Amino acid sequence: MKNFSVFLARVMVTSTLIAAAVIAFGLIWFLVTHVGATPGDHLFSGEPKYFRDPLDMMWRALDLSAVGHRRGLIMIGIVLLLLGPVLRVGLAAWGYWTERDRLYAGVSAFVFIVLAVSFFW
Amino acid sequence: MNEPLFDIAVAGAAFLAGVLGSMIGLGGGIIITPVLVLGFGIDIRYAMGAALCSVIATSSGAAAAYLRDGISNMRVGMFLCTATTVGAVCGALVAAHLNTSALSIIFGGALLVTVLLSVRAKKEKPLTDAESDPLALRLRLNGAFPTADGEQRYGVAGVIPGYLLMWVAGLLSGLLGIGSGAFKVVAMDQVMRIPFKVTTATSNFMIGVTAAASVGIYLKKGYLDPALVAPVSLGVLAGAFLGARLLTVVPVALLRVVFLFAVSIIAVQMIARGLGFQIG
Repeated sequence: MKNFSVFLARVMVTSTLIAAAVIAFGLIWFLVTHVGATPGDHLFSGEPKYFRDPLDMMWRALDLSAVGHRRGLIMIGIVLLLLGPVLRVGLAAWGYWTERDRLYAGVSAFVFIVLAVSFFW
Repeated sequence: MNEPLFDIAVAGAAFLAGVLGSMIGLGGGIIITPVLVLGFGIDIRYAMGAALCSVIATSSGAAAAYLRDGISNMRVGMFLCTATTVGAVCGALVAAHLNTSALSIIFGGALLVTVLLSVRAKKEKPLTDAESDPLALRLRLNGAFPTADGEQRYGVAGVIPGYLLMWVAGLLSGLLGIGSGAFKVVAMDQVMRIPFKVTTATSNFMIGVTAAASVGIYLKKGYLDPALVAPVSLGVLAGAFLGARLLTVVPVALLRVVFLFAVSIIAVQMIARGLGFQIG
């Protein structure tokens, strides 16, 4: 289990750093295109539809004609960040399974299903 | 203030919250939300969304370090995550239908109870296998962590009350956009009698998983503003890396004082906000 913990720790760090790099790149890009803009977080209007659906977001970020909507790239990074724990729990389930620890493979699988349902409901 | 300056200021505040959050197992979300709302005038729903994302970043950063050092108890963490994730989904779903003033008061009150519980606690020796909950033995929850004098074994008590408290912790996480690390720490430390160091480490692992359960629902409600989430989560992430390194240097007793101080300030703040007072 010790080796698996080290492996899991490495996955956690790697997935988080990749997500952070995408977010940082997206943020810089966004700020460069919004130097004179006023922050708009004071009033809640809810984010537009394309920031609420992971698939819509993906297409939006890849749509090069939508220059000025670089927040889409940040959103991809955020989704990567959020998928980190899901991946981690899935790997733990697999790790327990390979050790023939059925109880904890089941426990991890249950958590994985709850996360998956909350994301794709 | 224009957008770049605003984002740099937000990132700086998030960095400090990240250092503190990862060191005391709070997750940073509970610190950054009041800062964003009171200090930056951001709508609470965007603040909650950004805080919840930052919580995942903190958890991933700090929990990885603990996991590598063998301090976290993976079995305890995963077992209790079955309670926190279900609670978090419930919390996120009811969040839109509840009065935020009432929630603030309830939450502040619950935090004050947390502080009282922690103040009352004495430093106790880790439980032996004979002293632990028979259910803990059956679930193989007992563990060991490395110390300067070799491995320290410990038992786990109060599995069922701890599990129920974890469900409540998850509910609060989804409801208020926090990691609810304070509740997780209390459930493990006070009720399940797990050593504080293991509690802090394991709670860090659980916080990210719990937050992930409600953040999908936040996303669909439109609480995640990319321009706010980015500086907050990057700032907290950087802070968390520093915090995890400081933990091995700072003594646990001091950590506790910081922990209790932070929680009581936030508790009073939450109650005052619920009652309609403006602070700061």
